[in-house]
Amino acid sequence: MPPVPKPVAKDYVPAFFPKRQGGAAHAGGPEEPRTRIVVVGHVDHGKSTLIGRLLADTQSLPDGKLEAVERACREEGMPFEYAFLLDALLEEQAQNITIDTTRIGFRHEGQGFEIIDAPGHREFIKNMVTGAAAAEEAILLIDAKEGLKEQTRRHGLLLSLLGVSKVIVAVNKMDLVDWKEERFRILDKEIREYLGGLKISPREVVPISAREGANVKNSDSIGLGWWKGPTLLRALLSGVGRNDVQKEGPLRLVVQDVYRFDERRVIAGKLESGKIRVGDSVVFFPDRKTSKIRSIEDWGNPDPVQELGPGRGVAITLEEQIFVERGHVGSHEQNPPVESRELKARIFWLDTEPLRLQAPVQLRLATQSVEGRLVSIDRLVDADKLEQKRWVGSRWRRSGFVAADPWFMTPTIGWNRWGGLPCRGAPVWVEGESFWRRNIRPPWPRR
Amino acid sequence: MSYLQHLEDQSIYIFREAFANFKNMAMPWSMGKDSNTLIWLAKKAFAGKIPFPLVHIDTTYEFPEMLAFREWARNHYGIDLIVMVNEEARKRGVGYESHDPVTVTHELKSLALQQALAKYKWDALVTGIRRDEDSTRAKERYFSPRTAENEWEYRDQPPEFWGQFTTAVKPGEHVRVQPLLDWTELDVWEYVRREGIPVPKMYFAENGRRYRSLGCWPITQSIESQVSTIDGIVEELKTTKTAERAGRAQDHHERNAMQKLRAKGFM
Ligand SMILES: Nc1nc2c(ncn2[C@@H]2O[C@H](COP(=O)(O)OP(=O)(O)OP(=O)(O)O)[C@@H](O)[C@H]2O)c(=O)[nH]1
Ligand SMILES: [Mg+2]
Repeated sequence: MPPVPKPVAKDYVPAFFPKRQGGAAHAGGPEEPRTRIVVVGHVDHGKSTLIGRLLADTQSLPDGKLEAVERACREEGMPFEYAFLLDALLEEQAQNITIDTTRIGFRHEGQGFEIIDAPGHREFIKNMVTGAAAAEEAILLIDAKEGLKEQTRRHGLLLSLLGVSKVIVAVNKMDLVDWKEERFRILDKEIREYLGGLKISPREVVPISAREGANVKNSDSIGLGWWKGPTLLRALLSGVGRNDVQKEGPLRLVVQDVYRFDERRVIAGKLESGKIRVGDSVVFFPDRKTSKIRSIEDWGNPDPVQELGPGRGVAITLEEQIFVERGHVGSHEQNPPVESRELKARIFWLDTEPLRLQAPVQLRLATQSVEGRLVSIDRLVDADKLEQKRWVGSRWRRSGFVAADPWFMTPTIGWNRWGGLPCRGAPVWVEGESFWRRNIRPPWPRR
Repeated sequence: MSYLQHLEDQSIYIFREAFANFKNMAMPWSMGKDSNTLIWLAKKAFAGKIPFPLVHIDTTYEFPEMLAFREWARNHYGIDLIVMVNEEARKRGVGYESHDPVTVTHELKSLALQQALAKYKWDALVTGIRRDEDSTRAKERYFSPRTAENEWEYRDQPPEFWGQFTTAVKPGEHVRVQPLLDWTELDVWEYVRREGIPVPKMYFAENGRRYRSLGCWPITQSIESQVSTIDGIVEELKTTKTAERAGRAQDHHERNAMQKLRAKGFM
């Protein structure tokens, strides 16, 4: 036991420093967003190994981490596995498999990344979707020897459904095919064809060996001497750029809650798109009541805030005491949201129970939540074979009108079995691009 | 919009989603940098008033400064604070003098929390964990359910994306709400600096040593550092190769110590 620490003075005050005005720019904070990249592909094709390699080669690991992995591998009686840097659960290490998604950050050449390791095993597809839905870009990994497999195709399909269209393909384990260029060219062609059917055009297809560290960070002049293209890391770096540009668009203020903790009645929510200013007239849907904004509340800020833009969390008070509650959507009078009872969506069913027509499900769009029913299925797609390259399409009918239009920044509709527990193995859907423009409520204001 | 601003907005969104969906939530609070960032974010999320109690799980091995900070903050922020001690385990003689750090951490932290859960019947707990702290936390969800036994079913976590979270629990279960999951240690310090959030002085060097992560005094090591300013901390973190929790003995007691602790309810 170390010595008991000394007591502190009676009139203790903690460390204080002045607030930096002007935000992160003035404080030298990180201005740039981190590019989030998910690594997907068939089980055992080397996704976790690749990420471990990237972290090790870019010197992003804390001291002692590699040694800890070495010890774990020895205990499991295995040669060194870079994958253990990600597969940290005992169950994962014992089976050399990824069970759940890991998200881990690193910086290189001044660019921040967050790499998301997705599991390739079919059983963990909900975890793969959880990881991939957070990504802006993807690396689709293929084992050079095994070629395209079931989950290679399914993950490709999911990427397109999730709207992750920036994709780099890595043909891994080139060491197992004697670094042969012909093999790479065959897979290059095959994967481009497949992804083309999904309207994904890969930014780059690169040969690598994750385990040997060939063409990951460092180019490889021996086996891959024939390769004139970029390393994987170079390909990643060359693609960074903001692709989550905040929508300026019309105002869509989704209401999360209304607080009455003191004499104020504070409406709390998030700006999915557009701007608000003090004094603006805002209409709240579905009730269609209007009020002017009296104030924007910003705790801890000595200067009153006059305006907030897209993506920001907001807390406002209103001039008029109109009824507003969670799920309402505020907009300006000029640009109201589309409200409809029906929508068309592409979906991916993650539950173990089949989805049935007319079965009630809970539909969620941002903070709106209504009961909905699947009324028809237009097309089905077999994710394993991707036959005829058709989309999953279906129509949903809802119990109430919901504000739903493309101005919602997040493709936020989710669902759970109505009344059931949304926790375990619950179905989740993947959003469709087009909302069904039928059964639409007459636009506001009524003329 | 700066990345830090994005993180702040996201955390505020998570706080509000939790409060809108759960009936009886609480926020464990350890007086460290992450905890104080959470208070700050909660103040912003709820326009100045934190509408749920804070809970300090007092292991009875707290640094004197942390206790002093606790009392100072209770006043300063006007928070509703519940202090919990696992008296039963202390009576049995569980302590660092005689037991290993994993056992003591489990008894005096996780079980104390479980006792508090049984007493107050919280359905959600806001925690300050971050993915970059350790590799099991890197697999966490923003809303992470725990069983009635306070266990984390890491082999079967719910799907979670596009701002939709697990918000229903069976009786006795609760959800860990984790607004700082996407933040890094560096992000927290940059935010502390940007906002001017008060933190304990132990984070700043005295006689060539400072603390990077704060826990029970018998098992928490300080690091060698000359850094005595907030700018210094930010700069040091940009170049350091030492893991944040390297000085926390319970993490390194055995292989996968964190997994075992966290599966049983540790934060
Ligand atoms: N020969 C060779 N083996 C590799 C290479 N990359 C990975 N491996 C091996 O392939 C096996 C599987 O690697 P992982 O990284 O665990 O595969 P994964 O794609 O993450 O697997 P899941 O996450 O379970 O889907 C391990 O034994 C690796 O050592 C490579 O470039 N060459
Ligand atoms: Mg893996």
